Amino acid sequence: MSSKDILTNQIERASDFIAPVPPLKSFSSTNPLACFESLSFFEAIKRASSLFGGRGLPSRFISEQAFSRKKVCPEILKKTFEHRLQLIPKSLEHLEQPFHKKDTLNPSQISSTQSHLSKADYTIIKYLAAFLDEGQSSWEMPDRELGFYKCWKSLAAYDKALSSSFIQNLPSDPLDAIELLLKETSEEQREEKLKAHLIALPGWAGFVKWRSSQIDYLWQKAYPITIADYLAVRLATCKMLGHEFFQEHSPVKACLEELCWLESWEMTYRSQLLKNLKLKFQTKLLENDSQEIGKDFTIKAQLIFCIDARSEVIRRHIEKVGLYETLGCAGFFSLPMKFTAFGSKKSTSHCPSFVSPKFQISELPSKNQIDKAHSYLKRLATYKTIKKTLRKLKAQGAASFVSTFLMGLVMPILLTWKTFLPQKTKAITKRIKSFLLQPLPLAPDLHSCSKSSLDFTIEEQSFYAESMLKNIGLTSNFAPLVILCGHRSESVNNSYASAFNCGACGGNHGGPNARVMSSICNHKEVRSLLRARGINIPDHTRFIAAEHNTTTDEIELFSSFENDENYRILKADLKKASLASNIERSQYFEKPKNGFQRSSDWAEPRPEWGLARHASLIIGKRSLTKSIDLEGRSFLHSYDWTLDSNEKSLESILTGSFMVVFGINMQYYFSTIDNATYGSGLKATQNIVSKIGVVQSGCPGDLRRGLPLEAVMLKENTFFHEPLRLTTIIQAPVQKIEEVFRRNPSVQRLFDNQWAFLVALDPISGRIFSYKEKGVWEKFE
Amino acid sequence: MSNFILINSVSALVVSVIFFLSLTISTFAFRYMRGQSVLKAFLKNLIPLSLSLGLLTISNHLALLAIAWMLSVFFLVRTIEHTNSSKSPEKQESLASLETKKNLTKSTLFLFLSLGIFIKFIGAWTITDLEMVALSSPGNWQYSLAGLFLLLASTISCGLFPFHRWILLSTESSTPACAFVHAVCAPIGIIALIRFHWLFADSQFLQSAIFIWTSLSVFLFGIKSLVRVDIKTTLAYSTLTQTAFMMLACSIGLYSVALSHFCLHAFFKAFQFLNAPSTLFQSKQPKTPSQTKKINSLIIGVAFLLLCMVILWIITRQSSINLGSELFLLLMGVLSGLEAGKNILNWNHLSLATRLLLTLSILILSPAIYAATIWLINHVLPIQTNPIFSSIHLIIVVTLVMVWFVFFCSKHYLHRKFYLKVLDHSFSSLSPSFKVMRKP
Repeated sequence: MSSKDILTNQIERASDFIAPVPPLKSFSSTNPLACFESLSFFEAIKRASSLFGGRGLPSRFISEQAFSRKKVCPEILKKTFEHRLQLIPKSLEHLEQPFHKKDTLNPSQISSTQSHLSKADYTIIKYLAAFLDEGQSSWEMPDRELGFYKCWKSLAAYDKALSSSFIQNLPSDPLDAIELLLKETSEEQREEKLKAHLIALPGWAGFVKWRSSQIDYLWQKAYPITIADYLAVRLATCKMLGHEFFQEHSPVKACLEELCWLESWEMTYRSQLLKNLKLKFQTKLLENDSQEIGKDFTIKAQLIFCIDARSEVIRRHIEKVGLYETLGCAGFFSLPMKFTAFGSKKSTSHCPSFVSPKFQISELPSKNQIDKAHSYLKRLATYKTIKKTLRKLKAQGAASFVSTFLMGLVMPILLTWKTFLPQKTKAITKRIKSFLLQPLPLAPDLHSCSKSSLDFTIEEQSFYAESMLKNIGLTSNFAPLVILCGHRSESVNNSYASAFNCGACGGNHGGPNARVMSSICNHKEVRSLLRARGINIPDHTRFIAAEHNTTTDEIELFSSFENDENYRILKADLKKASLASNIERSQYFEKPKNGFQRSSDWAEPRPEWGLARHASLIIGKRSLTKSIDLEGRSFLHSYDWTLDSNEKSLESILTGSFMVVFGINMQYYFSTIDNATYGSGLKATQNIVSKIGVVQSGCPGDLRRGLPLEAVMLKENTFFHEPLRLTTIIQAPVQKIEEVFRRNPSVQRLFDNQWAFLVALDPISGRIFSYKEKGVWEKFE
Repeated sequence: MSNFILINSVSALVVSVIFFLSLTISTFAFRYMRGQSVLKAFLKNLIPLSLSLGLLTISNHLALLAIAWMLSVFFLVRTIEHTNSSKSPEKQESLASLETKKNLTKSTLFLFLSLGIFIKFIGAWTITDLEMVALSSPGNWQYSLAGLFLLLASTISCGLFPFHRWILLSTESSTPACAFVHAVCAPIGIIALIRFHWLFADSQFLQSAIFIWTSLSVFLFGIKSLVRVDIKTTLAYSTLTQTAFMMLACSIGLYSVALSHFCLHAFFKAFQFLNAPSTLFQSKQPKTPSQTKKINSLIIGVAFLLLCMVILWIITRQSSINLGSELFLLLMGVLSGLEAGKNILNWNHLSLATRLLLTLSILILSPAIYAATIWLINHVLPIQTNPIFSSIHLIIVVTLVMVWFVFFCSKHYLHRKFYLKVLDHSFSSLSPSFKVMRKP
């Protein structure tokens, strides 16, 4: 192995310690401490605390608040303390009294300051932010196409703060430069030093890590950057400025007492949830399978929703209003695709961040609308260009004075409308846009992708359809209407808009996936292939794509069959369910109570609560959770173990959907526990930088990761999201779960190390088992 | 009462703008920062700040003016640092509030010196009296000295180069606070200049000095804003450029233009700040190297500049317009029309004929609309002034524009060096000084 290979491996290992930070435009949740998943949770947070300086367990302040809200059962708390520490907490007595504000959060802590940054950090941020800029500056950095390291070399030679002769003498290859700069460092210390340099600015380094892994990303293609580039620049800058990197963070002590509080809180939640499920689980065991609603021939429609916790509420309400069966499936409907909207040059990945898209789908109008399509494209191009030109003029010399002057004339009207009449403004804007553009009915074109190198054959289409249907246990007894419902969030003036979209679709809208999958399932040839594989979709069954707006709870059906009575009834019932669901979900807002208002208000920092308060993932039949009010706190994945003889479906769920939910859970957990370290602070003090992310308190600072404070906290000192580790409940025999673990040790590791909890509802023994560690199961009491 | 306050069309307009924006921004903040302690701190300071700014605009008595100014400065500093409102013992004063205090103290000092001269040497206590005395006895040295101090107070509060750092650092504050500070507070010094415009009427030297100073500021801030990669600082540089432009208009006697620009800029800047999170989704495609090669900025830039000169020459030759201040405005209109035209020429989805037709229309319409608006404002808000714009002024403007073109469009060495210099300067204004950096 050459020295370069050794160095590459060292860089790779060092970069494992930082989590990738995707751009805000396609926010996807990941575990910020993913690099420590091989350690036990408690050990991991201790290590992370010494590296990042953050807290890993709920503070006493949060725990006591949970206790005062009766989220922690005193009995369980006592037992946990006894078990863990062999003592009863002295503080329990005073906790019985009403909660008093103390040790409250300091707003300046939330929007952490930049005072810990060194001069070297500032210098690097200056170059990095300019290089990674995706369209904010009017005068772009020259030589970006050379890559970060070479671009820096060509520019920094003129930087008076740095030494031009030193820069000129650096090798042209970043790896050679790192080798040269680490010449004096011993082989053993190299990796530690590289790690320390990466951890110094975890936000920027995380973004570089994310971007270097996205070879198809437009900006990466045009202006490439790698971790090696970043490290070479950083090491050289530190050397020139005489900045010897040292760890400044004083670790926040993670104590066992805090862990006891967390465990008691989690145990309280788990006990209540299982108490509800237990009755249903045991009743269903006694019933004949044919009596289950999935086998009921009177069902008018089956609605397949995303597993998203927000879908739980609307599913419950839909089931209440009529004879409908609802199912849960990962929102990308098992389609690893890229999607290009009609008239757009940009294609977005509509699958989880850890899945690489396998094919590209474009949206096209129907053949009889080709003429209209041409004029639509012209209108769209003109509309976009005018917008772009106006934006440009604001930043161009003399034009900026005149455009400010002329645009200022209409601004009082805009300010008044947007601030005082947000809903009307939204409606008027929509009407004007629709009048100007006259949009066309569009559909995904499955045939066009066969022209690309990534063929999407009928065989493949049927494979994905089969995979999706088998995963959710829907292989027979299809209703006349099967609705595939993706979801999206609607908000204005919200930099975190994508964080509320479908996580399984990479922070994008779920509608395109639903439309592609419904086209596939309606395809005759696909159906005949599926029939051959034991999935008999009757000819009269119609798959319809839909999209659930999670802010307003409206459901938009993409195809119209007004002549079909079932369709008409379904449409009316969906309206009723949407309304009821929105009322239920709005109860958590002080005001405005109305989701429509929140979705159109430009001053609304919290258009919806998103996935806040989620705490569990339930994998099993809907009959297990039907008519139980899970308060929108559970992700629901449909699964029928009887149809999964080779555990393929369970494996796919645990390696796919579970991993997405786990990432979301950890992101919410750490953003609540320590927003200053793992979150992005107050929205009001955020500053968008390079059009990729946000920084706090002025520009030169580290790129912030995670969620804003408003996404997890009700008020500054009152949490809304309950920071609990994910409880995963699987309705399947223990042996099946163990078999999946055997094939996927990385999944088992998460449960072994207590990053998440696993409970099995074993239908064979009729018992509930709780997974301990290393394959040990314990009967759940 | 008229001794204390003076309400005319100018002060009524400015007060309306201040209160409209105060109401809009506080309504926005009420929802945007709901549940946060910073909201209370913000509103607690915004309301008195608006009132004191209103008082500053309508005050006629010099003592009242001084009190209003001090109150404005006090609440402005508190508004900027409201996000740091914690009562914790380890509370540290932010860099922004330190810098604001430093600059505005200087500004207050100069204002007081100016007011002191008025009271001590002229013996008048109201602005109307002062104006009458000034008109009756032109060329008074005390007036020139007071004017100089007032000018310094105004330029420091407006953040003209090199006093701009506090305006850039104020972006550390919350978005609604930034909106109010940049829309109203930063350019409020312009109103002081407008109210005392008669002080500068006879001082050719002062006016020329302001012109050179403001031109340089417009040039520097305009360039720095181009390299900024974060939205709030980009907008802050835009505020500085626009404020310098308003002052530039004052320096050539176009006070009504400065006033209207103040009002319209206030609306626009407030909107831009409040709408800042949306900018994330204003996507742009990376330029491919071939495109970069194709667009030869130097040729296009020089061609447009020459075309602009030709148009100006035709207008000045064929119409009765003299080389006066109005021509300066017309120049601005033509330049912006040309910039818009340059963009329209790149609309490749339209035919060449349509593009040329559109460019021509924009070229004619842009100065026409701009000039018509100015004409209208001049009639609605008559401020008696003697506009001046000499060939020296024109030479300064053209020189700065040419310097810009040479650096911006030149390849390799100069381009990179110039880019880096601008980038470096724009960042260093925001970074803490490393000698005095506080420990966390």
